[in-house]
Amino acid sequence: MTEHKIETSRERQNRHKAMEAASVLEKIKHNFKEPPRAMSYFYDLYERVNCKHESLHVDKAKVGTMCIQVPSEIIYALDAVPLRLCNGFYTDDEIGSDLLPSKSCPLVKATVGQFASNNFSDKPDVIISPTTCDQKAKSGAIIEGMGFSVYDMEFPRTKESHESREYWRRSVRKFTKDLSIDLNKKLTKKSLKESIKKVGYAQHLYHKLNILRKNTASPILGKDMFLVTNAFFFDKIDNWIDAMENLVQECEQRVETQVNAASKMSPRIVYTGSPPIFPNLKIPLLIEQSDAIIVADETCSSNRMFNDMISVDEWFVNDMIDSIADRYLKGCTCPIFTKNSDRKRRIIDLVRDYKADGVIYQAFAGCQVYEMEQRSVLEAMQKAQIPILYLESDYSPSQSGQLTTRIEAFVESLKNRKRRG
Amino acid sequence: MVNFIKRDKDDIYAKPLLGVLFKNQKFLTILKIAISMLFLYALYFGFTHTGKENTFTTAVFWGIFWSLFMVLTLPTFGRIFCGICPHGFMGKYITKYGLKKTMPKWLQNRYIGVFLLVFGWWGVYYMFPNLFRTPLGTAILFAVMTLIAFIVYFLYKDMSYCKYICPIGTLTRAYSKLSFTWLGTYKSACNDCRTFECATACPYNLKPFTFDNRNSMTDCTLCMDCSSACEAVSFKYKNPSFSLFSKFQVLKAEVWAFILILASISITMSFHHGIGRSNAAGDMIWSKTAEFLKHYIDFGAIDPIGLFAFVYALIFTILAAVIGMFIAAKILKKDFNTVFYDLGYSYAPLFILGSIAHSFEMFFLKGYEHIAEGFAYGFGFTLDVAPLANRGDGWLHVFDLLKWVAIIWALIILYKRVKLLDVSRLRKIAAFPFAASLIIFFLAVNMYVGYIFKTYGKASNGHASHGGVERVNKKSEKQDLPTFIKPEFSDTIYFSEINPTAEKKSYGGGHSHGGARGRVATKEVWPVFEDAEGKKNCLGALEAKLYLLDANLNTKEATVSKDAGCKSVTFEMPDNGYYNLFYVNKDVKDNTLYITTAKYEFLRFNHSNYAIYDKKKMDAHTIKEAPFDILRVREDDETFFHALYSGKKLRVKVVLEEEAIEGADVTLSTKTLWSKTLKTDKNGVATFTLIEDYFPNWNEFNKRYKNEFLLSASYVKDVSGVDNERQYQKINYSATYPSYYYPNERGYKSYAYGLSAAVLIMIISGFVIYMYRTRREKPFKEVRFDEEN
Amino acid sequence: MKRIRDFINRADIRRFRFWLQLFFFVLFIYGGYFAINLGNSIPVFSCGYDRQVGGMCYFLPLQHQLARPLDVLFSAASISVLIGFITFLLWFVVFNKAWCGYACPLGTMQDWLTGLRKKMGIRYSTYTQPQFDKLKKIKYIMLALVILAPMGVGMGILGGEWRTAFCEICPGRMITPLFVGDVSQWSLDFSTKTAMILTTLGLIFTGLFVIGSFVKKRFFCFFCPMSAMHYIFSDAALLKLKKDGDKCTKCGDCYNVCDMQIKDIADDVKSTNILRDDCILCMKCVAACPEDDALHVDILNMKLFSSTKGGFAKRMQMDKLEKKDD
Repeated sequence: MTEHKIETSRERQNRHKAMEAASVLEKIKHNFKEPPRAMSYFYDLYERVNCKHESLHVDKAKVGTMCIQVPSEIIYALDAVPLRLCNGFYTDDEIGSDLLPSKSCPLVKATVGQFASNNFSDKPDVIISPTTCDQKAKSGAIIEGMGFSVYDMEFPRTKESHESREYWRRSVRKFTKDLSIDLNKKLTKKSLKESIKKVGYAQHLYHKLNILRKNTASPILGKDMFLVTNAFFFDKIDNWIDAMENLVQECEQRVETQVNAASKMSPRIVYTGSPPIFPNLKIPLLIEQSDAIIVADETCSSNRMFNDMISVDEWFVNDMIDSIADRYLKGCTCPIFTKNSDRKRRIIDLVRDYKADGVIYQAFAGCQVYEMEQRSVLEAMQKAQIPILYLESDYSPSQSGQLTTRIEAFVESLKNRKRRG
Repeated sequence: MVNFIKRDKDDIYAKPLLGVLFKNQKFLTILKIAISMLFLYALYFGFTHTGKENTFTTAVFWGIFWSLFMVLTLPTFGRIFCGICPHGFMGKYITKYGLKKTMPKWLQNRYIGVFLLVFGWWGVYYMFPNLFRTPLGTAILFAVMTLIAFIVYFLYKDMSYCKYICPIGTLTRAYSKLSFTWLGTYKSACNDCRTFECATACPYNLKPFTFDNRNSMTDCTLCMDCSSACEAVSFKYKNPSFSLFSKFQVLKAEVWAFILILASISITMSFHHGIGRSNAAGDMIWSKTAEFLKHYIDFGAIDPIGLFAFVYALIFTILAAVIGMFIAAKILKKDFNTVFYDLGYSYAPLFILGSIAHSFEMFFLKGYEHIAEGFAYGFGFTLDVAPLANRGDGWLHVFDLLKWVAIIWALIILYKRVKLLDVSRLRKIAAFPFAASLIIFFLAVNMYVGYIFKTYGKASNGHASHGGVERVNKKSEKQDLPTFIKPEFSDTIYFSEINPTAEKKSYGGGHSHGGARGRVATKEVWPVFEDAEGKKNCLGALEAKLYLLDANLNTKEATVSKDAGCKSVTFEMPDNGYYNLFYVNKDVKDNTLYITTAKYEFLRFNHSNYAIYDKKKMDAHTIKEAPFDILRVREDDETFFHALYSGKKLRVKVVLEEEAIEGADVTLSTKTLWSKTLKTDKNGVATFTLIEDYFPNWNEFNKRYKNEFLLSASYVKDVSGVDNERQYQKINYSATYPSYYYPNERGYKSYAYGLSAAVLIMIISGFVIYMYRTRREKPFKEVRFDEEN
Repeated sequence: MKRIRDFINRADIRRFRFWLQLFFFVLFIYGGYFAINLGNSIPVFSCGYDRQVGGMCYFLPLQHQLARPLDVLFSAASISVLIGFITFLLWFVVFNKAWCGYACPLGTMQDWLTGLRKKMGIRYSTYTQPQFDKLKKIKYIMLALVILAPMGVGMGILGGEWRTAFCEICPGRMITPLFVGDVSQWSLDFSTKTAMILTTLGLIFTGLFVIGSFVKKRFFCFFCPMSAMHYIFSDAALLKLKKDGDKCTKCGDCYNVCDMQIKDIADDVKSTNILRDDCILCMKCVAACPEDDALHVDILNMKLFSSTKGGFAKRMQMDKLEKKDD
């Protein structure tokens, strides 16, 4: 006799999410040329966490972060684990759209949705919400209303002035003090120095891998890089570092044997805009399925996390914290700032450095800051004579058709340009 | 036309005081009227008072306008001299009612003005130096120029007189490029302008709205008529000579103005009034040419030396410029004209800054007095002021700095203009020194003048002194010659650095090396003795022998001076080291042979870095011609910088026949009448401690106060002999050695205070900083972390 | 070639600097013992009051030269002034302001005191930007004192004690001879009022120099007239500090480590020549820059030392993980 069991909502949500994750993983693993063998760790990781809902951090305090501006070095130094809560699931997006206005950013909706469903494999003990973009800032209160403890971290909206630098430094100090009281851990010079070095090492590995993509025959596709960097959101840092070391080694070998992850005439793309977070890797996958290759990106779920490194002059605790604060503010090219000349220069520099053929600028429908910056970035690209495609998308799977057409057309035009020389 | 514009920070029109001075039409008109009236009055005065007592006309024209005011304002504020010029002011109105014809092409030649100045004024000036400087001459000259100006203004339009005929038209246009002001317009207002009021209002028919684009103010004379026509005209501060750092349309006459003015004024003056006033004047080529041609041509009233100095200056200057630029053009592989007229603008600062220096110097020496008294005379009252400075005042030479500033500025302008050329870097570097040929020539002439004066000295009223020792004896020539007392044998004779007859002690007591730099240092000393009343007397005749032991330990005889009066001995000191002068005399009296030695020791050191202190040479030596001598024993750590200080020990060694003698009496007596007598020990050495007896008030303390003392030694030996058929039973030896010592450093240097000051500051500042850092009050509490490992 | 370049770019600049500074310190302060005399136009504060100096600071002979009577100075003596000056320029032009960061004995002493401060756990202070802008002008006032005070003596308007007015107030005069055991400069000279005030100021500045080195990283260099003199000619030098603004992310790391607190290195993305008047060319900024080729030190337009990601990671010890037994 078969037993009928009715799914709980939680189980159904998990199943939907697992389906989403599995289908994307399938595409990633099999729709392209042979990925590096070291990537299997990452595929496995995603499966474990998203399909099997495995908890990775049972023994440590978990600090959820709503934005990359929260200094992870400090969290590691306080013997906790930073978990980036930015969510990429359409399932959660649907849940969240009941709680947020319809025109909101899908990422924030998905994040709120996850909180609403309270379905975490690694549930955060405290949530840090920096006042970066409007929607994240407001969603903090909504999440708090659901019974979670949310800590507001004050982030300035300009970064040129001295005042903003000092403001952010004070913010980070206050945050550190409050967090160490909350977690009941003391911040020592040794632990902070070690965590700075460890995160720095992780960044250094990313750079080593990223540099390899400058070659005409890039050994790794963008979709894999996004996966690797996304994994940093939630993976154990030591495991991530080990896997990354293997990946770097393998890619270096690939470069020596001139293995090209794409084909010779594949247009090289720089991807910029709203962060693609697993499993919402729709657009990167579309791009690479159209026989282009993403060689560099300027997004906060990938490159921006690793690009800027902390430099400390004198290893005193107070100076280290100030240096950490500086790194998170000064190098940031997020469009939440009033002026965006740094971002424009960065994109142009990436195009030149990685010898890209074009830029694809993707903004979520509802992400005001990215949408508003689109015009000035487009102008800057036109002035620098770099082809650029602007896309708007959200998490829903229905748009694929229109997006595919536009992307394929753009890629074709780039290919023609390349052929003409 | 705009009625209002937001002015930039560097716009002079927006400044509180200067803005009024330069923009307010009422003020400017009143000023120009006043200047014109002054001009006319001075002119009239010159005709009516033609005698020398008319200092007014000369003060107005030569004291103020030409050239003090002109050279002061040109490289600074620009062409405001032309802005307030009476000719221009009155001429503007004359043209308004005149014929307004276009000037014919042959008159539209800027060289007319330049040559009028160079040849018509300066050439004439060098030939007839006094022609234009008299009141009548001045008046005639300016009246003629005014008449010409008025005629030209009446006939022709657009103020063509200023551009082409006026002798200083091109000159002021050229040199005003160095100024730090700039008349221009605000582009934002000009973009939409269709009426061009600024150009309509301009009496010179210029277009102010093009000045910025063209990077040239063309013939603008800063009359400020345009700025009252439209508010969009700006008068801004800019970096000095900034327009020369970028391209603009060159004007050949300007470059030639630079060169010819430099030649006819700076170079000719250096030749004629500079070198010409030294003792080498007669050897110069222009003097020689003048001398030579005097045999063939009768120059009449013309000063031939001045004329030829002028001619040669012109030739040399033009050659220097042209040859240098020619080579530069070849290196740069560009057309000579392009290079010459493009880079020639770097010559701008050379004349004008030098002339500022000269004008300032003249102003302080004579100009102020001249102007003040002249104006008083012109307006009917008397005034007597003293000049602000006197010839020979040291600080006047600070203006010489301007010549160096000019050279550096010229090189900078040249560098910037060479940078603008489209040629490879190597060529530019190679061509630079050649393009700078005139600048180098100017520098060379200046250094040459300095060299001439250093070597040959200044001519003093026609009698050139031959290179020798300068005597400060003018005073003593006027005094009565002292009657000379002959010294007794028991009297102590010693050498004095001070001339005993000189009344003022200001010349003496110092380093009278004599001679100027470059010549060998010499020293002059006088043998003196004190009579029964204690007064110092010099010797009218010298019978003793004089020997000089020089720094290289060679002995030779020294000679006494030949003048009547106090006898002195002069010796040269070519090398670094100790020079010893010995006076040895012997005579028999009362059966005793008196052998008297007076010694003078001087350490000559020229502070050279390469001098080596050879201990053997620098040791105390005596000569065999001096039988009895006092030697100052050298300490181990002595250097060229040796000096004696109070409180320190002084060891003296007495030698007889070049061997140490025991039991001789040595006395040290100071100027303050303290003395001490010791006997020498078996090594012939006696050790004195120099006393401290200089206790002035603190404000009068002089750490280089020379406390003079005299060492005298004597020894009697019982031995009989014959000298010059005179018998003696014993020999009485005596020797003297004068010197001086300075106050000890301990008297004015305090280590305790020094150390305590430093430590106190460290403690206080450390404490203050600590308190500040820990106690910084803020509205919020500063979060701090413990530095725990 | 690439290997040499990589080696240089990954070098530990601190160790290199320590040894080079020590070498120059011994060379200048003790050079006399080895009979070394590099002349009188050295562009660092290698104080001439130290009898055994190996090469004298240019300001001492310069002040003596400028103090001559003006008519002599501007004619016959001008050649010696020019020669001294041109020698100074020739020395300077080779290393540009790296003389300050690597060779100046006073700078080396400040760096040693900074090391002591770090050991004692005292943090450094910074100026606020308005304070910085106002205080940086003091070095030009000091330079004016160096040049004008002796000329005042030459003009006859100042007494002889003003001849080496700057040397009287310079901390180098007191501190440098200490290293050869000479304490004679630590005295207050009461012979005249001027001398007393000047020597007192000198000792005050020495006290401030010592304390200041415990508060800021290179306290005295901010007020140094030699720095002002260098900057006037630094355009012509062979060694240059260059920035590629396109590569700069304005992360401010260079500003963070800069001993002299120069903001322009981080903020100015337009200029190529980023050497400012306070810079001592210690190259800490290049070492701390995490972008490839954003900052580099050039000699004769060839890149000598460049910022690289790999070099940065190595210097911050982020290029390998110290394995702990967990």
